[in-house]
Amino acid sequence: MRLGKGTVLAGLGLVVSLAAGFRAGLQGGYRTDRTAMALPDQEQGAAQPAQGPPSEEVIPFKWDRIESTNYQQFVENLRTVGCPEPTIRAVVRAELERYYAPRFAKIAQSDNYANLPAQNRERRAKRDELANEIDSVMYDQLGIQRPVRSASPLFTLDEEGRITQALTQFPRIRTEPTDSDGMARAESNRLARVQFLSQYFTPEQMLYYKLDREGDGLRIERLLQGMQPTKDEFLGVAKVVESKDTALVNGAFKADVAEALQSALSSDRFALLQLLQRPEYQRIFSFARQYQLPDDATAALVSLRRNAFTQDEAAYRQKVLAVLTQPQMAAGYLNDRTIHPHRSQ
Amino acid sequence: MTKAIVALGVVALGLSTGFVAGRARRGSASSPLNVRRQIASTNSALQEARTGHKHWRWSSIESEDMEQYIANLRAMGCPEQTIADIIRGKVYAMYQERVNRIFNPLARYWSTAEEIRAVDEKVRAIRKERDQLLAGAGMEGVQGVGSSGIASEKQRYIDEALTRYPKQVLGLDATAEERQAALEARKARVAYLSQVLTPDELLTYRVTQDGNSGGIAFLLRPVHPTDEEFRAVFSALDGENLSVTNGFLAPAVEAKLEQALGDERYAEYQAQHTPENAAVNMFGYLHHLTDSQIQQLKAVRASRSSMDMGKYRQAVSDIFQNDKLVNTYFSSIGTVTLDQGEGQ
Repeated sequence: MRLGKGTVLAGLGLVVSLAAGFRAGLQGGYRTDRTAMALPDQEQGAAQPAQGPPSEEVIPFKWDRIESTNYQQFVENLRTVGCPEPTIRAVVRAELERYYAPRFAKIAQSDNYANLPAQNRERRAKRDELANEIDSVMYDQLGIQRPVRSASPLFTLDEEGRITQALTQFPRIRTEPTDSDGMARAESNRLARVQFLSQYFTPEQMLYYKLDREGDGLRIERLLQGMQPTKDEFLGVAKVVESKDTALVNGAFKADVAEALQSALSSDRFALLQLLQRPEYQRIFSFARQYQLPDDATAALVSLRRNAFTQDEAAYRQKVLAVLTQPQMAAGYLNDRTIHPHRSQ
Repeated sequence: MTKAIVALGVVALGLSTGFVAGRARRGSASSPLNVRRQIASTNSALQEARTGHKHWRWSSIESEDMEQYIANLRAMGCPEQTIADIIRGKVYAMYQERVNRIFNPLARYWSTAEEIRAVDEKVRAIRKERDQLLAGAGMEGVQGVGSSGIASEKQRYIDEALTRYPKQVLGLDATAEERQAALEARKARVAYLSQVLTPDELLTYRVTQDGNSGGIAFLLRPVHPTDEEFRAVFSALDGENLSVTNGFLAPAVEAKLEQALGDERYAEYQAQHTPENAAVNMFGYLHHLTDSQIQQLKAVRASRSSMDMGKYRQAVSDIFQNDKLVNTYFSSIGTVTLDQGEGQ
């Protein structure tokens, strides 16, 4: 039987196309990437892997099918293949931070030693501006989900989700204490966050939230400085002074604050707290902040100072040195005229 | 022409038959989960047709075993930088979860120093494990965002120096040996970096990352040093003990400062460190006042004897325009015996 040229060509075409079609079907059949199709050897070595669930099917797949020079498209591609949101966030954030790195570096290089606090404020503001820009690209433009803190002893994952929601709707505003408009805006947002969360949180959770996330913890810490409060004392005081202005007036608590504190502390402890507002103890706390002393060292200095004039000079000096360990720091402390007005060197 | 049409028809038939056969074979291996996913994904059919990702899922390469995860990503041709970003992101999140589980941020307000240290130790151990895991995978730990002021291509030398001679956190109870070890490690870092950074870059590194620039800046803040002055003083004083006794540094350190500043500027420095100026400067620093506000406060205070208390308070109030801050000023300045008894 003789076959015509056309029949041979058609038969050959059928075999080749059957094979090509079969392979395309096996590989998902939607590939239009010519380069990848032309490099079967590389593809055979690809995507061995699969530590994933046994029900997952592994098909050779190349990164270049996800890659895009367009971020929107890149994120869309990652989502399409089921890339977890935290992974998308990590990749995009890292890339954006690299992209912005020269601008961050430029901020660090702008020296203004003539006025370091102003320089630090300026740098912080510029860094915040860039960080906000990155956040805006990620969360507003690309629609990437904002990160939610993982569960902690204070809040569950769901509660952390609510906190993230509150912060997204009513963001924190960083401002200078002398900028009254900025302070008012910051306070308004803070109140809105608290109001929003109080719909979902119990009063106890709200207290934890305000202490941990709204700066109340530091305020109460300052208020009880030198007391080494127990957990009950700390939380009790936090509860009663929650919405009160705890600033001192001429070294004394305002009447309503004093009354609230009395209700939360025993009479001995309240008396100690009042004593600790005196200039010499406040100066000890300022010294402790300056040298970042731990609380127990600060409390030991307070205790020593309370009995400073009932023991001899040498013993007192020795005990102070034992607390501070560094002779020069101890000398500076002992020579402080506010802490020790009657001692002189 | 007819032959060509026939040939094309046969090719088309072959392609479609082969395609269907291939699909049928894949279909037989599909799990119900895959089928459900396919159904669920029909809504985004247009997107899938464009990207061609219909059947491949990220979960097929993701692994809790980082080495395996990296190998899987490499096998699919993922760029090394992206692999590093993915792994670093996953490892950080994983370990942060562990930290969050054991760390109650409020506990520090009522815990003893020992209890705080114990939790800190646990957190440090978790972070060390994290950094070791990343180092084992050939990735560095924390990556800044170019805040060092050093060209990014040289940043890796700094990372290397920090890996070889790590910074040590010293508590107040650190022994003399521990302090010495920390100092030696710092010297080794600086010596290592001096081989690869220019002197100016090295000074920048020390100023921004590995020196007591904060303490020196705090000391010099009231005299507003120029960049040149700051660098000169930093070179002279970095690593020295900056404790102040009766308003003075240790004599040898004070002498170095005087030499670095010169007579005239040193005199200005001394004037700014008298107790009353120091107290106002400190207040200004703590409350982020501008230089102008600090200068005005000093001027008002200097002319206090010529005005009554009401006027004095009003003058201070005019500077702040913030009643709360005025109250804080009078009560905190009172604690250093400057304006005691002059508040409300």
